[in-house]
Amino acid sequence: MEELIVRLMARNNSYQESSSTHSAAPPTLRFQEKQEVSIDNWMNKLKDADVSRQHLNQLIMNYFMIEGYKEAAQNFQQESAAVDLETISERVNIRNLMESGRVEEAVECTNDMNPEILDTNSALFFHIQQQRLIELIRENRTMDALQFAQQQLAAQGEENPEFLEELEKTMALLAFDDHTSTPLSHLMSLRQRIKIASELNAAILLSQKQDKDPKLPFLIKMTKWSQETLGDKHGRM
Amino acid sequence: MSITPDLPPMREDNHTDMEQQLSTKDTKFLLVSLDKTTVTYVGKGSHSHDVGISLPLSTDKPIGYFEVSINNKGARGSICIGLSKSDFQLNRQPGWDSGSYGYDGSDGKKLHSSMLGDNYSDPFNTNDVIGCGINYKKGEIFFTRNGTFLGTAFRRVRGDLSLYPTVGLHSQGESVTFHFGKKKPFLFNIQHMIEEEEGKFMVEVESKTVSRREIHELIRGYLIFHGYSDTLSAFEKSSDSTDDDKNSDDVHMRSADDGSEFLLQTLQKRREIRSNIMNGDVLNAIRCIEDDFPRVMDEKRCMRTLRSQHFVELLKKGQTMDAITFGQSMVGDTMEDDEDENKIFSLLAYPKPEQSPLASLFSVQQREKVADVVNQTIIQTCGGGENQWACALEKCMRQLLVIQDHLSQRMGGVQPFDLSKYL
Repeated sequence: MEELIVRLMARNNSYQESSSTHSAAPPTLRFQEKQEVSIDNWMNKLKDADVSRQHLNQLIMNYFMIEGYKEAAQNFQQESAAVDLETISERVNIRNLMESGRVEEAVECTNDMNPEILDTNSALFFHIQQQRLIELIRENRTMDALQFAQQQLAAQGEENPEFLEELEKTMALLAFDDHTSTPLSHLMSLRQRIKIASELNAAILLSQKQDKDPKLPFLIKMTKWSQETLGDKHGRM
Repeated sequence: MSITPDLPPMREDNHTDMEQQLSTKDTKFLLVSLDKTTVTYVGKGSHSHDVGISLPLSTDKPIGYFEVSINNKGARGSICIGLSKSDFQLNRQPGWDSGSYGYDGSDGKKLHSSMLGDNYSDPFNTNDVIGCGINYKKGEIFFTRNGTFLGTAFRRVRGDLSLYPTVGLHSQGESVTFHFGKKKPFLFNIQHMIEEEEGKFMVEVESKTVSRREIHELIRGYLIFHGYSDTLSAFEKSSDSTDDDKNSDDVHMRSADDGSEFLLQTLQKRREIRSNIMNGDVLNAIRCIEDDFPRVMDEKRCMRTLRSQHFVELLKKGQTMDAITFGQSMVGDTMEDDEDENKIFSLLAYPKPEQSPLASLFSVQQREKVADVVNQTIIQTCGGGENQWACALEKCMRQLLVIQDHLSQRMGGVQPFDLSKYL
């Protein structure tokens, strides 16, 4: 990686050639407008640049979190003074709750975190409620399921025909003794849980304005682009 | 005469709080309205009278833009609209000098460094809205008329890109009003143009390739340099399988003996020192240094930093008397006037230092700062070599900032992009 930098630095200037051919001449960086910057001067600028350890730690943490290096992220928080992991662990916690069928708790945690997530996202909220109904049916709590559907879901169904159709399908599960062999068994599957958990996870991420791409690769691309632009003799920039 | 509204070059950040105002030295020939955005030529002569805006166009977006509505084209319809530099003389027509650019309403010509001009578009009339914009990255100036793009008028606009909206008026009755998109939207869809420009920039940047391996190598370098060994092993464990091309270039990547060998060999020892400091156990850290890196014990600055931190840790634990005793022993061995050091002693003045203005000294970031000084000193004095003043990732980010700085200087102070968004 060290070489990447040296190579990138060399691209902006002619110092590599000049330093090998005329070893006496001090190496310089050349700019479009005949600005010259000595390597020493450039190195001093590098050392003076305002890059804090906090920023770098955040970049690393951001990469670990978004790319899903959970263990590395945890260790990193232990070893460094990096950003707190609370939001990531909370989010992971909510996801785990959803995936293990503990919908009510997941909803509570989400609302604790930021009530707007569910308030502003009616489709997501309906899917979560639907999942809760499914979990009640799975536990054979038929009466609870009926009551929950009437009190919580019916109103949402009236507002939106799509929701109503979904609701009707889900209620149909009650008609079968053995849920696993119905045409609707996909609703009962673990995959359905994971699907809703991901949907919620994405909404939480969005609410935290976390990008889906880590920042570090973009910044390295930016470094490459900047160096090429600076070194561009025609200076289109 | 030209009018540059009293605005310096187009700088929206400036005119968010303060609307641009017309500036003209000329009160005999020009009548400026109360809201200072409309100007009318009231003289009888045929001299050029300019109005300039007191603020330059905003440079925080890739394109700076303003519009002018022609309230009255006057006796001869000789209004000229354009941009000028801060040293522009307001009795010259925009475009006559090298420091100004203009679009002449009498004949539709474009003017730059010339009194003759070149063919560009149509003359303009009463009730037309003429827009003028500059694309900072490309160094291009364009005009619009009633919301329609008229094409690029000037290319290779370089140097100081801090340009002021300017209008030249020449005949009786000519009257114009400046618009900066604040009170009502522009006629021309400048937002679309800006988004397109920003999109192009992103595409250009995204077209550079960075392999996963490069990124991972940078991260590894960072973790090794700072001694985050637990993180490193967790990261290597889970990233090995994804880096399928990891080995192919390894030799190439690590060929130069630039001290990276030293970093790897000392990783565990440096890690132990760091974690002692991070846990507030400075004395243990010093013990480790004495055992493993005795040369560091001679580094006065580093050792002072450590002792200062120990003092802070004692206070943090509420052992004020111990801290004072220890502090007294420190005064003996510090000769130089160290600002940080004076700061730590003033912690004693606060009954609750953790709530004082110096509370940051108690933070985990402060511990990390101390650990960094120690780590740096170990690397510099015990074999890391000249090149290891920082890890590659850090150098990359520093390089990026310095280059951005140079690019923006080249573009007359225009920031190519907002780096703070990414850091």
